[in-house]
Order: sequence, then C-alpha cells, then structure tokens
Amino acid sequence: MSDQNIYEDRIKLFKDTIELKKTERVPNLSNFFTWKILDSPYKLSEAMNDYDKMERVVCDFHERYHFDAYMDLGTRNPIRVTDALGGGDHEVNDKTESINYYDHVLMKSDEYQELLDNEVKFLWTKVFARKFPDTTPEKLINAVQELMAYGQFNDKMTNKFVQEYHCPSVFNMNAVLMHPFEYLHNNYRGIKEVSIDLRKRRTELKDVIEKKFETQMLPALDAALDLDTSAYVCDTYFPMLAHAILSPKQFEDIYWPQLKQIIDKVVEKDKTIYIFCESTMLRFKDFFQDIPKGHVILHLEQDDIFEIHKELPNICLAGGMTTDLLGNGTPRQCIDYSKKLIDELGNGFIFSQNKMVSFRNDCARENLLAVNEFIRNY
Amino acid sequence: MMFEEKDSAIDNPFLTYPEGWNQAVESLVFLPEEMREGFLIQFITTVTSM
Repeated sequence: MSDQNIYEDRIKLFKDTIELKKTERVPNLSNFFTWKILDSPYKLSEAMNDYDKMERVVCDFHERYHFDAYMDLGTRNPIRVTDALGGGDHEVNDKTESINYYDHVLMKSDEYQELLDNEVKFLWTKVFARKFPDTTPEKLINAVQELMAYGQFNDKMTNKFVQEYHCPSVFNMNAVLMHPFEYLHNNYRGIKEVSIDLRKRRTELKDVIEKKFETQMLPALDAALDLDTSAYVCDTYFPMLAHAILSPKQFEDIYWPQLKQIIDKVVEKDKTIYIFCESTMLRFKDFFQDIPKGHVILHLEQDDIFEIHKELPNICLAGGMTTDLLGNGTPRQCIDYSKKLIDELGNGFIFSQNKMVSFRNDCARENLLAVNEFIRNY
Repeated sequence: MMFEEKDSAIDNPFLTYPEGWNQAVESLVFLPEEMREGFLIQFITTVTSM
C-alpha cells in the first residue's frame, strides 16, 4: 500500500467509524500525554523545555507503538510561554514524575459586572495582572515569541505526522471550541469559587456565559464550521471538564443551552464534533439521546463505556481501555479486555485510553505493545 | 487540590488600562498595526488559560 493510501485509509477509517459504519478494523487513537516522556530517556522538565527533545520523545513513541492518530503530539503543556512571563500554575516535578496544576482564583466573586462591562480591560488589569504580576514590555515580547515558537512546533509535529508517519491530525487547532463556563471554572474563578457562584451568583454567572457565547463563541463556531477540515479526524473539538461539578439540573441551566446550539449547528452543517469528556457523563445521557447519528463523538474517561453504549447507540464512543488495566494487568488480560471492547461496542467505537495517560503507573510498556499489536491484527 | 487566591493589589504601571494596554499593543511592532490589538486580546486569553 502506498504512503498516500495509508493516510487516506486512516482518515476513512475514522470517518466511517464516526458515522457508525461497519469497518475492517477499529481505529486506534492514542490518548497518551506525559507518559510518553516517562517512557523515554528524558525527564519531564527536559522534554517540556526543549522542543527538539520533545520531538524525539513523540516520534520514538510512534515508532514503538504505531497508533493511527494522536490526541497529543507533545504540545499539551506549553510551559515555556508562561515561564517567559514569570511562571504559570503548573508545577513540574521530576522527582515524583508529576505535573500539578493548581486550582486558582484570578477573578473575585464581585467582579462579574466588570467582566461584562469591558472584558479586555478586565482581563488585562485583573486576570492577566494577577497571573503574571511582574510582566514588563520585554517579558511580554519574549512570551509572544515563545507562543509563536510553540505554534511553529505544533505545526511542525502535525506536518511530520501527516507526511512521514501518515497519521491524520485529530482536529484543527482553529476548530477548538470551549464553553464559557469552562473559562470561569478552569481559569478565572477556580473550581471551589465557581461552585459557590452557582448557588450565590447564578444570574451574574449566566449573564457572562450568555454574553461570551453570543459575542465570541458563536462567531468562532461559524468560522470553525467554514474551515476545510476534510483532512482531520473530526471537524470541531470541544473539551469538557466543568460539567464534573454540575448536577443534571445545573447542566440543563448553565451548560446545555450553549452546547445544544453548537451541536445543532454541527448537525445542520453535516459536520462532526469530538467531545472530550473528563470525569463522568452518564448522568447527562438524556441530553444526547436525540442527536442524529454520525455527528458526535464522546471520549469517555470515568464512565462504564458499555453502559453508555447501551444508552446512546446514536453516538460514536472513544476510550475504553483503562489505565488500571494497562498499568496493573498482564498483557493477556489487556488483550482479552481489548477484544471484549471491540466485540461488544461494535461499529462506532474508536479504541483509545480512558484517561489522559500521564503517570508512570498508568501503563506498562509490554501491555501497550501487546494491545496495539492485537488491535492492528484483529 | 491546592487552592491559591491571587493578590489583587497589582502595582504595575504596565498592567493598567488604557495606558499600559496601549503601550503593550504598540510594542508588537513585528505585526501590522491593524492586527496588533486583536492579537494581544487572543494572546492574553490564551496565556491566562494555560
């Protein structure tokens, strides 16, 4: 088979799977993140601060395990950018082989109106100022240059994987959409504070969500849906984390109205959306039951994927292989579970890992080698 | 998970609006003038999310 055919076959394999069509084999998508570095000769800090080393890490990983596509090509934690501004909220610890991200508050509870009144002023003088209080004109320029270097690294890796390894990119970086509540939860208010706001400042919180959605997200969605994304696994990408703190009732009130509009537009334009769900989704299953098949992929983290499949036969599911098994099981156990996943989930299943694989004990090399050889040949 | 509340008393003349902001916009000399402010908005949105 020619190189071009390998690439086109992989794209078709993913797209047919998303449309729940019968395929010759299941696509194998890597959800490995910093584990790749722990599987290499480098320390976390060495690879994360040196793009040449990170390139070697990611290429060696592909040459060893041969996935069809990758959620991460070494671009998950651009710490060089935030370090240029004096440091961000990541703590890279080579001794414990971990990266911690601190829950942080960059916006106070009584500042919602300021955010509504003038978002640029608010971001610059409050949010950015609290995160990077020692910014100088020189540091700003250095950080902008680092962001550009990061963008160039991202482009280089994407092109290399398409051209040398014939692996399609999962999504276009310009087609990443994020719910406004995610910004408040992940970045501005933090998990603890936004949980209190849900009860005490619901109206202000909703006002911010609705304004950001109308003025920023809808135009971004329209632009994303106009992109030619035929060379990507999916047309748009939507990461979800903040739903983890919501009840179904809160989800219906705070999150779903905007997500529904997005999904409706994706369906209307006959496009696809890859929803990367951290935490659990089962309690929100009712919201997804009427979506036409062929448009939505749910990548599941902590759910029972067999139960979700039973509840949502209209949705393509990704994930399945657990880090518990990859890290603690035997190769035989991992293969048996892989077979069960493929046999029972049938068409419309993208084989991947349930967690963003990050820690050494998340996976044993011999297990991953055994699973991927099995997937290629089953 | 650790919790940290950032100090809101920022005493940095560069992080003011509109004076410091305009200075930051003007400093992006490697970009065409009409693109600088949009780029900076995107930049601060991105880095505050990192």
